[in-house]
Amino acid sequence: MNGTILTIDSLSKNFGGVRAVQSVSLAIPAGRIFSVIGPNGAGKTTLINVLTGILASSGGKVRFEDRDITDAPAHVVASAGMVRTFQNGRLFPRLTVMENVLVGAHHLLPQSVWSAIAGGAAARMVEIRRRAGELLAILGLAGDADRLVGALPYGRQRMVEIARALVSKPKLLLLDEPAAGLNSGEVERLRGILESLRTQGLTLVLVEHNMGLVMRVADRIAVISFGEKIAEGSPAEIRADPKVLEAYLGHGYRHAEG
Amino acid sequence: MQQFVQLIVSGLAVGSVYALVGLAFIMVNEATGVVNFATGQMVAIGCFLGVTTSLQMGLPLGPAYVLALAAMAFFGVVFYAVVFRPLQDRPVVTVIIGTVMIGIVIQNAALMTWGSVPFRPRSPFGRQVIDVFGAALSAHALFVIVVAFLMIALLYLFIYRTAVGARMRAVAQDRDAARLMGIGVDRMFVLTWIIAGLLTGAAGILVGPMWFADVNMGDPIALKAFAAIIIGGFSSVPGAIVGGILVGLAEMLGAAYISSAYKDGLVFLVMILFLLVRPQGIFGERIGQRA
Amino acid sequence: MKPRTALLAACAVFLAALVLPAFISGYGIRILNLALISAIAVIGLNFAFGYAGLITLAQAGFVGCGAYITAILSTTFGLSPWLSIPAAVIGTGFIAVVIGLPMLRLKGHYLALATLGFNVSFVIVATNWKSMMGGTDGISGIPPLALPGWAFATDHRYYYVIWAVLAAATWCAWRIRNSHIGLAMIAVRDDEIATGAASVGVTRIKVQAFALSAVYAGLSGALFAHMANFVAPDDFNLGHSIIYLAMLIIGGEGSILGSIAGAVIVTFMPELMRDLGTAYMIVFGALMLLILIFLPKGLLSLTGIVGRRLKASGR
Repeated sequence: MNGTILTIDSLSKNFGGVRAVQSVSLAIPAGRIFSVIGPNGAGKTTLINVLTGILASSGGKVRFEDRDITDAPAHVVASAGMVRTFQNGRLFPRLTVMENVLVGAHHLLPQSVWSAIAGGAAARMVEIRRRAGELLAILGLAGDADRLVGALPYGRQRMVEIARALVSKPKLLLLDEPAAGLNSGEVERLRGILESLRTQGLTLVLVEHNMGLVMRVADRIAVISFGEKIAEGSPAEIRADPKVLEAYLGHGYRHAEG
Repeated sequence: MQQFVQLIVSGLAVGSVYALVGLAFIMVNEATGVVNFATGQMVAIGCFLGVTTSLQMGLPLGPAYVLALAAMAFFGVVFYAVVFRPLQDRPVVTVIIGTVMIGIVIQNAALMTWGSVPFRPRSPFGRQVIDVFGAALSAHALFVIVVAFLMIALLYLFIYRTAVGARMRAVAQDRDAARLMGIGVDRMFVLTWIIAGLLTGAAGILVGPMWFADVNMGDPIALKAFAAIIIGGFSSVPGAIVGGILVGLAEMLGAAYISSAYKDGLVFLVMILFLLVRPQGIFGERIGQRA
Repeated sequence: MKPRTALLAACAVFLAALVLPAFISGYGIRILNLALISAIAVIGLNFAFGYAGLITLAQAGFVGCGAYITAILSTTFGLSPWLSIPAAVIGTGFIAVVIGLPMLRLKGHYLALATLGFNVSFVIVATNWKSMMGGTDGISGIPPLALPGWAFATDHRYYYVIWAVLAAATWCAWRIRNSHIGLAMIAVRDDEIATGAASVGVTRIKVQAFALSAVYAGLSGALFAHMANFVAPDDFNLGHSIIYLAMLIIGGEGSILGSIAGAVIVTFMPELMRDLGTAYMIVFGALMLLILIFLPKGLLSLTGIVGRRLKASGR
């Protein structure tokens, strides 16, 4: 798969006087894993929130698959094929694991109450449930489908969120710190899942702090600091970039060999 | 012209009553998070207690009112113990229904105690009028305005100029932080409910001679006070005052110049418009609609 | 109890209810009818509040819309109740969509107050628009539902109509709950942002929940009108909206069966306590308060038929 699937053009977001995102431009290549890193408070999550319609932009444009989705509402962005997970996870505690995943497929079903009563979409629902079941199996949640999602340990809850994002067969998945709070075994599992998704043609944008994970899976990395993009390149280039080191570690850091 | 001045005065008077009730509501909501749907019943009880102490116990009006207010303060404590404490930290709507249920208990207890026949409490000023440039102004109405604003001024001084008031504000802003700072949060809650009792009690005592007193008097008053808070700004103290005055004026002027029947509708129409166009009211802060 | 057992129990109760009229006296049937009519309104309220978390104080107003629309159509315009009732239901739903679209932008207590304003306005209009709505005198002479040559004019006969409508309404509610629409409503209450990000149009779902609550309310009101044969503004005031909320919470919010249980309990309780004399409402209010304090998940939790959803919400 070639080409740019998501074009972010001089995107900005201000909160009153605070310039959380300053004229950031990125071209996300299709079918690759693109990682966004940067120190805490750099504006990475704000960037994702603006891209996915949770926050309104203060300037700039976003094009997804040749469609202008700047400031489109969250559900429109998701229906268009760009989905996301949340930092620390946002699940629906009153629903089971399977039900949580099914919510992600909402836009694939008829939106009328009448069809819900009359059962017009029964066949499609069966298909969606089957796909949800497959996803749960891949993500290690096979036996948990009917458990309330709050009963699961944190690592598995994050997987439920990923399943919810994937059930609608999206084209691009934005992950906000998926490795946060995971132990090394779970991170390794996550790495395998991300690489498998890339093989299947999904584009991934990974906001992460876990450098080990980022350096191993990312095809390309952008570094954000104080709302601005300060570097972009391959993992090797980023690792050697003095601006990046300075952003993380402050002035006067001397890079140890390696 | 004279009629206009009279209407202004009665509008201000009834508006001050709404302001007092609105303040009682806001204080409880800010400090404890409770939306008190029994506020109207508390106003009614305040009125009845004023009647009991002055008429049935035969006390002179001054001590009678003081006694009634003291009883209302105690009533506030009872409210805290019976409704607030058991339902603390429950969802908002559960607490609302709880206050509604206690309101039912209060209203029916009042019905049993004082009967269902409405009556007209006496004002300390009787039916005196004061002549101001040819307009005959009700002395009681002027009394209401003065007393209400005195109470509000005292309340303001208490909240913003005393150490205890500062503690109450701290609890309203961040309960857990206040607790960590060593503030007796529960004591502040009790104090809040006592103040609410005093405000509603005073409102009831003041409003009684202006209209009739019966067990159902509380709800219309509370509803207008709600509208006043919306218009003024839901968490805003100056908002409650301005809102109350506006509602009182709108009610009196609207009844005289537009339509007596729809006067209440006018007030609620304004309230709904505010909710749709400017939900934070006149003085409130902007409400974020998105994340 | 597992959901399947709950379903079977519910079916058994419904079937048993069919023979109830044989055992209850005239006044008891009237109260039962009122309870079941209220149950329909409370099931509706469960969509808006129990699932979607919309604090709405407009339910009695919508019940009133249904009652008055069918009253006006069947008296002033002489329409058959078989036509005026559906018209009332659709009309109420339409009103809900029209006022819901602007109102549902509000959240929390602001929404509560806006819906309060609607209910209060409805009563004011009904009280003052004498020509169309009869003012405080209301509208009387509403014809009963009737088949050719046979009218559902007694409480006993009407009971079966209400039973059938409640059964159908319950079934529809159950279908909706188990559909993606029901899931989306519950999700919206749990986490509105995540729901939007998961491709659910949040405003649309809220309007759907609100409109559903109004449709059920309108149906409830229409049934009431043709039973009482008389409607007046005070039957649909704010106090009644609060009672519907109380029924839902006391029965078990988020649960269809809880809605029915709450309606039945709150309707019957005062009647059963009338023997206590003037103090009966005091006992009623105190008892309800105690239930709120000691049974946070509502009465239905006593039977163990607590929806799994209720358990998770930690209330």
